[in-house]
Amino acid sequence: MPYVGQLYAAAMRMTRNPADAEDLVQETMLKAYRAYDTFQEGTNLKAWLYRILTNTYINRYRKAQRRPTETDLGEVEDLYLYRRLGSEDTADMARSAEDQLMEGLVESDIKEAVESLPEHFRLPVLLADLEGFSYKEIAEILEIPIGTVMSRLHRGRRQLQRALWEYASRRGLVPEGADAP
Amino acid sequence: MKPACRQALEEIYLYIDHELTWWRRRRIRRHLANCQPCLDGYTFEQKLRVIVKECLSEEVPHDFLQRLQQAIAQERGTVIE
Repeated sequence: MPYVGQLYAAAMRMTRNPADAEDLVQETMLKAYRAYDTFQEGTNLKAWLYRILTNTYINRYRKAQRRPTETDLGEVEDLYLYRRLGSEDTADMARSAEDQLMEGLVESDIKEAVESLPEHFRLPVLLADLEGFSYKEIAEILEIPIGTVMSRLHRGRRQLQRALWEYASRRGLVPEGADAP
Repeated sequence: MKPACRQALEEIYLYIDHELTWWRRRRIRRHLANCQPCLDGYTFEQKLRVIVKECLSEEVPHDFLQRLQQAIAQERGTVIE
C-alpha cells in the first residue's frame, strides 16, 4: 500500500489523535480503491491520494472535531526565529543559541506547534514541509488559487516559528534577555 | 538592510521551496555566496525545515496496518463479486 505512512503522519497532524487519524487514512484508502478507475494513469498518484485525504478530512472530521486552541498570532516577521536569536552580541554566541534551540526542541514541541496553527495555515504547511508538494500541487489538492497557497504557507510558517519560539522559551532554550518582547 | 539583502530575503522561502525561475535562483545564489548574514539566515531556515520534517514523521501502528489491509481486501472482494 503506497504512501500509507505518509498519509498517516499528515492525518495525525490534521485530526490530532491516533484513533481519528486511523479512521481518516482507512477511509481515504478505501475511497481511493473504489475510485481508482477515475485516477488517470501517469498523473500524480501521491497528489491524488492527498486530495482524497484532505477532502475527507474537511468534509467529515473537521466539523465533528473538538478543537484545541488554534491561535492566529497575526503578522509575524520573516525569519522570525533567526532574527530573535540573532540579537546576541557576537556571531558565535548567536550560532550557539541557534544550536541550543534546534537541539533542545523535542519532537512533541514541534508536533504541538504545528497542531496549534489554524487549519487554513496548517494544511498548506503540512503539504509543503512534510510532504514536499509544490505550490501548484498544493493548489490542486486544496482547490485554492496558487497565490492563496503562497500567502497561507508564508504566514503559516512564520506563525510556526513564533510558536516554536514560545516552546523554546518555556524550555529555557532561548538566551537570557532575548525573551523580552 | 541593504536593498540586495532585502530582495534576497523576500525570495528566500521561494528559493528553499525550489519555486523560482533559474535566473532568480542564480541571483539569490550569487547574493548568498557574497553575503554572510543572508547565508546564515538561509542556513538556519534550511536546518529548521529539516528538523520540522523529521519530527513530523509517525510510526504507523502495526495493528492498524493489519486492519487496513483486511478492510482493503474486503473492499476488493466486494468489487469483484
